[in-house]
Parts: sequence; structure tokens; C-alpha cells
Amino acid sequence: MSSVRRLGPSSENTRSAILDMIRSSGTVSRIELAEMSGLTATSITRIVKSLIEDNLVVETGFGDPTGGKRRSILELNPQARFAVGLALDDARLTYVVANLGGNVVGQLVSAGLGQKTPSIEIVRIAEELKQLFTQLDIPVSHVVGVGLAGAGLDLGAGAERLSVTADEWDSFAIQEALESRIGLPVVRDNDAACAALGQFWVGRIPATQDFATLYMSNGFGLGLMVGGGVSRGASSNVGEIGHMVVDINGPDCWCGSRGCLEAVAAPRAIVAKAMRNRGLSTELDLHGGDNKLRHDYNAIARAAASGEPRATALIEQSAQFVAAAILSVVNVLDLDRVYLAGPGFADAGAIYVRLIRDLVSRLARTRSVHGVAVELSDPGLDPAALGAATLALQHTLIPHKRFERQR
Amino acid sequence: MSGIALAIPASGNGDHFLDSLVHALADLLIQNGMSLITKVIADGQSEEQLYRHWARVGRISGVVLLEVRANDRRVKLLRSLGMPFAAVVDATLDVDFPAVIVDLAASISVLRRFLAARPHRRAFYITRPVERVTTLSNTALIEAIAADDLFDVVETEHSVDAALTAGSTASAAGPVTLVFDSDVHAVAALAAFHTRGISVPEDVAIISWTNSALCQSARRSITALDRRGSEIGTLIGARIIDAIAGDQVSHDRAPEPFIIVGETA
Ligand SMILES: [Zn+2]
Repeated sequence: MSSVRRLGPSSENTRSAILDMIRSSGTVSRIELAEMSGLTATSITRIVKSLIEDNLVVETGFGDPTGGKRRSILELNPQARFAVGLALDDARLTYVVANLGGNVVGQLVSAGLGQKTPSIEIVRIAEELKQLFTQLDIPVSHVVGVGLAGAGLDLGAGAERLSVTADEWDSFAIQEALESRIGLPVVRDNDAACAALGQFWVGRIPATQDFATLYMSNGFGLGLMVGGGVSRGASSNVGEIGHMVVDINGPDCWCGSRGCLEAVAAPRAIVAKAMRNRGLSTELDLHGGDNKLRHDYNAIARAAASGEPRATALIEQSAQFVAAAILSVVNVLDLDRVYLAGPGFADAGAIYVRLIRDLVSRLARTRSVHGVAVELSDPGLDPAALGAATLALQHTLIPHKRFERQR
Repeated sequence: MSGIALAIPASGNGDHFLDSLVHALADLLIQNGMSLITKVIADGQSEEQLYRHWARVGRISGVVLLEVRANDRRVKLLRSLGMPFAAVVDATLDVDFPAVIVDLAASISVLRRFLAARPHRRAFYITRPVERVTTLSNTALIEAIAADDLFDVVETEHSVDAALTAGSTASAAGPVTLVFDSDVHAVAALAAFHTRGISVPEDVAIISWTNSALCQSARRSITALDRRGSEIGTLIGARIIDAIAGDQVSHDRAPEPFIIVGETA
């Protein structure tokens, strides 16, 4: 209960704002809500009544047990509503179900997008969502929406985007298609932004602490949390760090530029280099084709993590380019905290952390003023999927805080 | 797609041993055209209700059980429901169902040998309260430690602050070795001691009972026990697939745990 937030009396979002105040307060009385919101006691009573009728808020008992006027205490009913976050990835689909309090209640992990086309996969996703609600015993009427986390948005980018192997995903309006199939609101954001939101949510990071999350799957994305919200940019494509030029004389990139981070440091570039080493590719059973990209990359990353010198050299080469990109980001934005997340860091993340930390601590312009923490995000959860679930919760329940994507 | 299901105790939240087990299990299932569904459960009663629910609604081909104890009610229940299952069990148990057998005593021996090769100093095992512990490894670990003088066991609330306080108190009287049940707490302790100018490992040695990417990417790599969560996940995946196909007896033994020697002990 830090400050008074004045709310316009006619705002259609007043109810959601009050709900959010109850959520962030833990427990709170009607009088405190009136003080926090600047609304009249009558308005608060009316709004709270409707929240209780919808079972979103419950009365937990009475405050001030020592005497005086007894005030009933309100709190969020976390089991009242649920949201799903789905991280779309080549190797696996991860569905995370979170309750109103943001806690994970269950998960489904199934086959990744691989080479299948959207028209087939959208049917499967709808079916898997239905199964998930049944198995977790959650009535669909209690589900407020589905958040999707996937690689970049709306850029008409090449096959590298959502799926390395199926171009059809490029022009496919997955959000609309899924919405009409499952009859639930669907929101979508890029995986890096979702991962940053997920990290913020579970890490109990204060809203005053800005940070960036570098996400690596087939390519790279950068999610920026500023003032407790995800920074979006004009087309919601802030953080296209994958096409930051890190080697001006480097190889051509599919985006039309050359020497982009993605072209020299992403899993596909690492696997291509490994394939040129006959001994290593045989030992690690590498295939070299795009349809085995994740398998090949994971094999190299695991070998590097266990100290195999040739694999370590390949990963370190990639990590040096990533470190250079992060150094530029840190300098431009004056960040003091960077998280690494995503399947690309699952096995060899420690090598990336070490090289990024080393470069940034030696060369960041701000090094005499403050340090820069470089950390792996919690390895136990899929921050993109959790962030996507959080996005769906925010979108539906606290629209006054909704971060609309600009078209 | 055929689904394998797993109930995860709420207290296993944030346990990266369990996380690596689940991740590897999911990988194996996906390779075999299956999916993995997990649900967080508050207690044993809701776990039993959940199995009844799964049997009723169908589409779950098999269940993976964690932390099976002697005469476990869940084994009887799943049999009566006709649901194939495979379990992760401790080596002290006799089992007549598909299982991956984890020898917890081996983890303790590995740690004992590691500590014995170092200059002798008092060792503390800092853990969440025993009665709240439900993950396979920790319960049996604490039971084993109780009959042993390898460590002093310090029970604290499961939070970074509480673990740090416990660690500081234990190390106030001279050089010690602190073994944290949580990798997150071990990493936080390293940072806290660094800030206070306490030398690691000279003044305080730090060991994590659970290895994870966090340990390996800490400011200084943290000495940790690899309890083979990934390998156990892959093995239990194979057991449940075979169980669905009719193999109701085969066991695997989990590979030996080992210490990843870092810079903190
Ligand atoms: Zn490019």
C-alpha cells in the first residue's frame, strides 16, 4: 500500500483495477481499497460485491481482532480462474497452466512443430488444450484465455522464424485460427518478451529493476522489462537482436544483411561448422539437415558442457559473438541485469554466461559505476510458456494494464 | 497422442533434480510419439483423487510415481484402477513392479568420500523442514543423516533468506562446509559471502546437493552433486513405455551419482 492511485469514476476498467489492487495487496479491507483508489466507499462496496459474486475475490475473515470496528478482509481467490501459456518450439510444445495467483498448476509437453504444416498442427493444439483441461480437471468456463509465445512477429521473415522447416507458418494467422477453434481469447507475443515477463513473475524482481532477457531457440530475441512492463516498440518487434551485425565481413544472412548474430552464432551456424569436422560429426551422430537441427545442436551443447574440446570451441565461438551483442545492448540501454533463457541455453548455458560476463565486466562503459549481472534464468521452468500464461491473465483480467500490440 | 501422467508434490516446486528428471522424461516420451502431463498436488489425498480422475476420464496410458514407500497405497490404488505405472524408488525397498532404483546411500557415500579427502571441518546440511520434504531424495537423505554423524542437519524455512541466516550462523564459529539442499540457496550463499568479504572455500566451503546450470554458471562454479536426474528421467520413461506394453516386472538401477568439483569446495 504505497501510494494512492486515483481512478476515473467512469472508467470501464475500474473493476479490473480494483481486482489488481486486491491481488497485489495480498489481503486488504474495503476501507483500504477506498483509500488506495480514491473511490467512494459506496463504489468500492458495489465493485467488491460483483467481484465476490464472480468468485474472483473471497472474504477471509476479520481484521483488527483486538477491538474497534471489525473490518472484513478480502483476498484474491487464486483457483477461480486459469490461463494457459503455450511456448511454440520446434523441439517441443510446452503448455503451462497458471491460476489467478500466477502459480503453475500443471503442464503438458508434447511433440514440437517440426515439419508439420499449420493446418494440421492447429487441430492438434486445439485437441491438446481440450485434453489438458480435462486431465487437470479445470472447467473451460474457468479459463480466461491462452497466451502464445513464439519467435518474432509480423515481419514476414524467412523460414527461420516459427519453424525452421515449414515456411507455411510464416503467413499463418495462428492467433485468429486458434481463437475460432477453441472459443477462448488468444493473445500472442514473441518468446523473448514472454520469457522476460515470466522471469519477472517468478523471480520476484522489483518493478524498479529493469532487465533484459536474451532468448535463444533457433534464433535470438531480446525481451526488455522496463518499469515492470514489457517494452514493445512500434511493431512489437523490439529486441530483434538476432540481426544485430556482429561481423561486418561475416556470411550473408537471410534477412538481407550480413554477419548478423543469427548467421554466425545461432544453432544452425554452429551445426554447419560442426558438420565440416568429419570426426566430430560422426562421434556426435550429427545429421546436418534442418529437420534434425535441434537434435544436432543439443548433442554439440551437451558435449561442450562435459568438456569435449572441439564442441567447446564451437560453443565458445558462438558465445563470443553473443557476448559482443550483449555488450552493445548493455552500453546502449545502460542495463545492470541480463538473463539468458530458452532451449538454446539448456545444456551449454554456463559457457555463454561465463563469456558474456567476462566481456561485459571488462568492457562495459558503465563498469566503473555499476556491475552487470549475467545469469541463467531458472532452469526448472519454461519462462516463455509461463510468461505467455501471465500475458493471458493480464490481458483478460487486468485490461487497464494491457499492453496492446500496435499494428 | 497417448499421454503419460505425473503428479508433482507442491513441495517439489523449484527442485531442479526433479526438473531435470521431468525434462528428460518428456524428451523420451516425445521421441516415442507420446506426451507428458503433470499436475501439482497439495497432498497424498489429492494425489489419490487425481489418479481416480485420470482413470475415469481416460486417455492417460500410464502413470509415473515418485517417492514410493514401503506398502505404498498408491501402488494398490493404481493396480485396482488398472492403470499401468512405473516408479522411482529407493534401493532399500523391495519392489514387484516396474521401477528405477535409486541408491540414495550411494549419494551420501560419494559426499562422504569427497569430504574425507579434504581438511576436516564441521559440515552442516541446510534443508527445508523435514516434515515438509516430500521429494524422493531429500526425505531418505535426512533419514540417513539422522543415523550418521556426517553432518549437523539444520532445518529452516524454504527461502533464500532463511537458508542464508542458517548458513551464517553455522559458519560464525570458524571454517565450515555448508551443504545446501537447494542449488538456488547455494548460489545465493556464494553471492552473500562474497559481499561480506568471507572467503569461499577457505572460510566457508559450499556444496550443492543438487547440480544444475545455476551451479555451473555462478560467479564461481559451485561444487555440486550430480544425482543423475536426466538419466533417471530417461530410464523411467523406458520403464513406463515397457509397462504399457505389458512388462510389469523389469527394474533398472540409476547410474552412480558423482561430484562435480567446482571452485567452492
Ligand atoms: Zn540478419
